[in-house]
Order: sequence, then C-alpha cells, then structure tokens
Amino acid sequence: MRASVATRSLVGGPSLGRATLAIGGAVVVFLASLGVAVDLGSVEVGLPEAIGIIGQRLGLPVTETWASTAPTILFEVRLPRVLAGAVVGAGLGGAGVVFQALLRNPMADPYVIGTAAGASLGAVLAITAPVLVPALALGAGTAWLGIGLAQVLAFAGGLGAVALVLVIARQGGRSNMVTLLLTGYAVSSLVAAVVALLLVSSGRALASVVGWLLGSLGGAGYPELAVAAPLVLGASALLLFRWRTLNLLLLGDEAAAGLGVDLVPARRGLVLLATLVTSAAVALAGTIGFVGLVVPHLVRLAIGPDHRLLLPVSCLGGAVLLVLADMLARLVGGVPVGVVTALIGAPFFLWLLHRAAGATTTP
Amino acid sequence: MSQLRQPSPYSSPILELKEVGFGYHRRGRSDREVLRGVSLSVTPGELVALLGPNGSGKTTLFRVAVGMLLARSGSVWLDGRSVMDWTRREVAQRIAILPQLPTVPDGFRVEELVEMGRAPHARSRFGASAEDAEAVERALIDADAVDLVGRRVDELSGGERQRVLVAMTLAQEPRLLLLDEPTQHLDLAHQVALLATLDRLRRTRGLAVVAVLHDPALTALADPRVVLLSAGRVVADGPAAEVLRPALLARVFDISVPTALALSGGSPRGT
Repeated sequence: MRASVATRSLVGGPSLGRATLAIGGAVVVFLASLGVAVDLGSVEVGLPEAIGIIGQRLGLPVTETWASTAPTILFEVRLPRVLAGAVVGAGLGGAGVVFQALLRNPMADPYVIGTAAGASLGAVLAITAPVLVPALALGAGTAWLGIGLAQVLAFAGGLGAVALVLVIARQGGRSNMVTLLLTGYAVSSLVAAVVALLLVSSGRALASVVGWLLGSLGGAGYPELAVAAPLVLGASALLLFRWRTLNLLLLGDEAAAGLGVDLVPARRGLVLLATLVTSAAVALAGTIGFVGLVVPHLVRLAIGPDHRLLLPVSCLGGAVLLVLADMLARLVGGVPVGVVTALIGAPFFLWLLHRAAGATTTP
Repeated sequence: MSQLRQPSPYSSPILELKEVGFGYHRRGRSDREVLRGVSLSVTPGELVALLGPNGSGKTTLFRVAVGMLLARSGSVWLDGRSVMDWTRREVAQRIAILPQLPTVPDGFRVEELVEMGRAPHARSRFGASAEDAEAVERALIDADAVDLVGRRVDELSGGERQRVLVAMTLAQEPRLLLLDEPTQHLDLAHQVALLATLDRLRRTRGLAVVAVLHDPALTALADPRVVLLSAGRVVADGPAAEVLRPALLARVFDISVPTALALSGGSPRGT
C-alpha cells in the first residue's frame, strides 16, 4: 500500500495537464468567440478581412480586400462593444465566484450586497435629474475623462451602497456573513424602492432608464473602456491570487481561522476587490443579470470547486457568455443583452443541472 | 530522534493556560461564565483527553487556546509567547484544530481537502511544494485514509469523512493537535486505530494532542492524561487511572455510580 502511494503524487493541486486543459481550453474558446463576435453584425466583416484590417492598422503590408467602411465598423462600432462585453463578462463571472464563496451561498451573485441597486440609483439620478446633478460639480470631472455622468454615478452608487451595507452590518456587533447577506438584501430593496419612485415620477426618461437597468453594451466606447477595463482586470487579477483563502472559507469560519486565515481582513479585502470589479462592470454596461450567478455554477459543474481553476475559468467563461449573448442581441436587433443571457443561459443551465443530478443518482 | 535535536523537548510547554476566564457577551443579560480560572499546561509528546458534560466549556477552551476568542481574565501562552502576539498563520503553523462541526464543501476530492491543511505552510503562490506532497501522503497514511483518495468528500460516509478531516489536520504538521470529538462517526475499529495513531505520533514525533472524548472506557484504553472539566472548571487532572474513577464520573456527569462503573469498563479502579 505504501509503495502504491509513493508512486503517484497525491497533491500539487490540479495536475499540470488538467490545469492547462481547463485554462487553455477556456482561452481558445474565448479567442474564438471574440473572433466571431467582431465579424458578425448588421454588416458582416469576414474573419480574414478583420485580421487584414488589424494587420494594416499595425503597419503590415496588407492588400485591401474590404469595403472602405469596414475598418470604421470594426474599430469604432464592433471592437469597443465586444471588448466591453469581454471585460464586463469576465468581471461578473469572477465576482460571482468570490461572492458565492465569501457568503457560502449558491444563490449569491455580484449584485447581492447592494452594488446593483446602488449603481441603478446613481444611473437613474443621472438620467432623470440632468439639471440637479451637474450642480454636484461632477460634470467637470466626467467631461475631462470623456465619460458619461450616468457611468460615473453608477460606479459611485455601487461602491456607496456596499459601504452602507458594511457599516450597517457591523452595527449588530459581530458581523457575520448571514447578517451581511440580509443587510445587503434589505438595503437593496430600499434603494430599489427609491429607484422605482424616481422612475414613476419621470415619464420622459423612462425608456432610457429601463434600457440601462436591463443592461446594454451599446454605450461603451473607448474612453469608458479605458477607465473600466483596468479596474475590472486589475482587481480580478488580485482576486486570482486569493484562491487559497477562498477555498479555506468554504470550510467554515472556525476551520478557516484554524488554518491561518485572518477572517476580518481577509473578507474585507475580498469584498472590496469584488465590489470594485462589479461596480466598474455595472457602470460600463448596466445591471446585466444571470452572468454572475450562473457562470460560476456552470464552471464548477465542469471543472470542480477548486478556486485555483474556478476563478480564472469563470472569468473567461463570463466573457465568452456575454460576448456571444451580445452578438445575438445585435443580430436579433436591439434586444437587451441581459434578456438574451437569461433566455439562452437559463435553459442550458437547467439542462446541465439535470444532467449533473442524474450523474450522482444513477450508479 | 527528536530528543537528539532538542535536548529537553518535554520541559517547556507548547500551550499554557493560566487562570483563564471567559464568558460570552449577551446584551441586556448577565454573562454566563463558560470558563472559570482554568489552568492547563500541555507539553510536547503529551496525549491529553478532555472529558466533561455538554456545556462544560470544552469547545470554548479550544477557541480560547488558539486565540479565536479572547480570554477575559488570565493569559494564554503558545510556544513561550502570548497567543495574541502570534499572527493567525503563525498560530496555525503550531496548532491544528479539528472543529466539532466542520463544513465539508461539495465537490472537492479527498486529496484536495487534505492539501488545504498545508495552507499555513504555503510558500508558493499557486503550486504545492514537494514538502507539501510528502506531508499530505504521510497524513493520509496516518489517518488511514489512503483508500479514499480520488473520491469526492461529499460522497463519503460520516466515518470516512472524519478520517479525511483528521488527515487534513495532520497534514498541517502542527506541534499541538486540538481535536473536538475526533472519534465521532467512527466505528469501533477506527476509534481504536485513531487513538493508536495519536499515541504513536506523540511518541515518535513529540506531537502534543488534546482530544475531547466522551467514552471513559475508550479513553482508558489509550491511557492518556485525563482532564475533567465541569461547569467551566478543571475538577481533575491526572493519569487516566486516577481520574476515571466511577465515583468522580458519577458526580460530574450526574449518573449513578453503577452506571459510571459499567461505562468506564466495568472493572473497579477504586472509588
């Protein structure tokens, strides 16, 4: 028995082959989805043409085989939108994993402790009260960055709501994760009520507000991307380094502390980073649902719960899902991308759940 | 071996509680004292069985010992320093604790869970070192969990899961093990095997073990030092043969003397 143990390695985490397969596979699928999404739309730009246009932009000697409008469509319309989809999807997928581990709750998503409600309030204020808000002197700053007021206020609203939730949750003495979850729910409901009030009293801007709430990648240009992408990707990268803490938190507070996790600062860091990611993503694209809840589960079903792989693959998976869903939304013509993610993702997810349940009951 | 490296491994205690008092805060009510003036010193190589009725403060004692709960009075010393002066990670490098009701997350395989025990020693950002691999292997063998490798922890029986959790704490390679009811869910053979393993690790590696046990007969089998806790006080502390007397057990556990006699193995040890 001893010998048979010694001949095979029992640790080292996921074997190199498995890790390469999971992450490499996800990268390949991600790149493929980028390629397809850039090409397809109301005006098609073939993949060879797209590569040619990018090559020409990089100064390579390429003969022009495309229509003169193609580069503009590719660079000004298609690419920022696809990149925004990738950034937002990656952020939501990763933040979903973090919140599910942190709150030890499979129903948790990136919005659960107030980000979505707070961001909605910020955006709705910016859209419905255009006279009032510039008085807050934010106008100057946003004009300088070339970013819309709605995005700035949405970002601030997301962070602000989570800060409020954290402060209230701590008032009850020892703050535990259930308190945090319930406080997040209560504050979200309260803020959502305020948003609804604003909506009712603003007949004119209703359509644009609802469009924002359902989520859209249409408003994302390079200036917005230049601010949101480093935030999302930077904070996500920092989260990737915390896979071990995320794994240990799944064991429960006592066991995690016993294994060296300093619970309070560890959680604070995770909440802060995941909230930054979520708020930036929501500011860029509105409150796109489903991605942050379901992508972590899909990936967990495929490759298991070890955060060393789960987190990076969920980021890539979220990016793939959102890029493809947005492509479909564009092709169908003006359907909000959040509707597409739910319409296609939910049945697929149910099918996977059903299959996974079948696999564990049948011997 | 360890005696050669350390001239007197048994002289200085790894854990020392001095007159520790603790009570849980409850708003608007007077606090219930859970620990009252508990003094306890554990030296490397010792096997200590902690016995006491439900609510006598055993689990609280563990939490205070690792610094998860702050003693209200008295002091807790780990490896010669106040436990509050160590970081959580430094404590975890010295003490492994097996909680009574651990959460076992779905989907992990046995070896992945056991590897989590290496967390306090982790040096690389993403990988596991050869040292980690060896520790995990040793732990799996010591906890008799080698045959479970490759299986998902959520598909194991209660006893199999307990063996895996014990392996996880062993992989932590602590100098002191705090085990809260380690024999729960285990069948008789595995209960006896676990105690034998703990006894061997104590002798060969100088590991100190404090284990909450409930069965006096089983406890007597391992012949440990026995600490009897009642209502937050240490009421007896000594060799098993001295502490596990039916009269004392009957008083502390509020059972009749004949019952205590039967439970402690049936053979009178003197009353």
